[in-house]
Amino acid sequence: MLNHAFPPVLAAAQTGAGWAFERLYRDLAPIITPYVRLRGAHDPEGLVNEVFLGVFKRLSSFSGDESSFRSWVFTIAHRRLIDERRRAAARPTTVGFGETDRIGGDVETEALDTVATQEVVRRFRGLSPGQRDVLLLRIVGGLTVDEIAQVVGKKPNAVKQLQRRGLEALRREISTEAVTL
Amino acid sequence: MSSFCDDEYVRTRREISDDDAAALLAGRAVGDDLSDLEAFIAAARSATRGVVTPNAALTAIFANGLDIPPSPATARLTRPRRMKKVLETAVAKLAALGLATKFGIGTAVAATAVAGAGAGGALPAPVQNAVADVVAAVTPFEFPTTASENAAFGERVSTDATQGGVDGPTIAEEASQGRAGGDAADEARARGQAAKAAALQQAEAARAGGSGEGEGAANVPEQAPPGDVPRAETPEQADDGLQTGETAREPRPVSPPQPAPPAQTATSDESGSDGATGAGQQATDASGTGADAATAGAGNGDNARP
Repeated sequence: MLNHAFPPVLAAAQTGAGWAFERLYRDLAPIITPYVRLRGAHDPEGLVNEVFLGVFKRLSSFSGDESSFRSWVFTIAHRRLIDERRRAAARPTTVGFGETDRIGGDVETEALDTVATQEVVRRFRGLSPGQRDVLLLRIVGGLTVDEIAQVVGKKPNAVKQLQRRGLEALRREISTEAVTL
Repeated sequence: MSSFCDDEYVRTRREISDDDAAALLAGRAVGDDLSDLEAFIAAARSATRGVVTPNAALTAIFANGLDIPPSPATARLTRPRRMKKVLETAVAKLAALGLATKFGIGTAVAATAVAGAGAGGALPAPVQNAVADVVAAVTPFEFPTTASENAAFGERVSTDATQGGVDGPTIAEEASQGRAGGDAADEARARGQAAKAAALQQAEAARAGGSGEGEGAANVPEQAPPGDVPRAETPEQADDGLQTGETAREPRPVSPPQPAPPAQTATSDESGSDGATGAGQQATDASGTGADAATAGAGNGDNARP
């Protein structure tokens, strides 16, 4: 978070200053990237770079504080993910035998090489898409309920219900696995 | 075993409320029964942080900046709104100027307006002359004056007289309507009437002399080709002269010598003299057709022979 430094950085970026773009990128890209990665993006870093290129070109139309800017960037990233998913559905990938486990999870296994990260990925994969969106935006993006509602296009009560059910599902999976192990 | 554990889990768990969820996601402790979930959320939060490498396009933007297009709110302004905004800006800037600057701008605007009206000759005569003098003194340009207008009037009369289409009373009337001045108009009217009477008298004399062809020729401008006027087709017609003479009586009357235009300035006098000279010359030509026209009629007849 840039906090008090955000307004001057945003103003400088809106005039086209390169250093201000870099500040915004360094602040938000480390948050956006795991979000799109855990959401199953085919090329998380490439997608994040595309998101920021679009953000910077449309930056003159933005007005608001840092949290609004953060939810605006997440909204753009969320829509890019939806577009990528639709393109992938229209052009299904041919996968050879033995590579089935990598469908939707190859990026995670390549990028997140720690056991903790793999466990997080695996647990989130067991959630419904809506629950995963809400919990990732809450946990990874740090957005509020209202901001998440704006990003995913749902009402705040629906977001609260999704996050509560998502937490219940995670709790159940953790408990079940602990008992099973 | 799994189903037994699930049943045990269902019996011992408590529902996660919205407050519990908010506290868990905010990283606050909510109780021992949710400690596993709390640990998982903390691990997820720390494990998903990562370093991202910007691509070439972003690196170029970081190094060189970006040309930001104008805000859509500004770009969507319609033309009238843009004009209104420009006018408001101009008025605000003008209001912010000092008194001396305002006075200077007002003077410049007034001078420009007067100069524009002067260039078009739309000012009253004294003002027009004064503006023309000032402009001629300080610039290489010349504005129209009342004298130059009168000169143009005289030149036009002269041209009409040379081409044989001037009516003295009409010119006098025009002159008396203010374009030429009162005295000059009266004088022009008198001279025009006298010249007209003399021309008619000479024409009658020429007709009595038996050369209708000559009289007709006198009314025809010099530039007119011979074929425009009925000519003697044979030597007999030329000798007779009566047939063509009858024809010649019909055409347009003799134009009297036209008066000089107003004489307010030297230029107008000069042009007016030209006009009078042109009209007078025509009258002289008409009066001189008595003997010469007979010869001319014979000459035309000779030329008409095959």
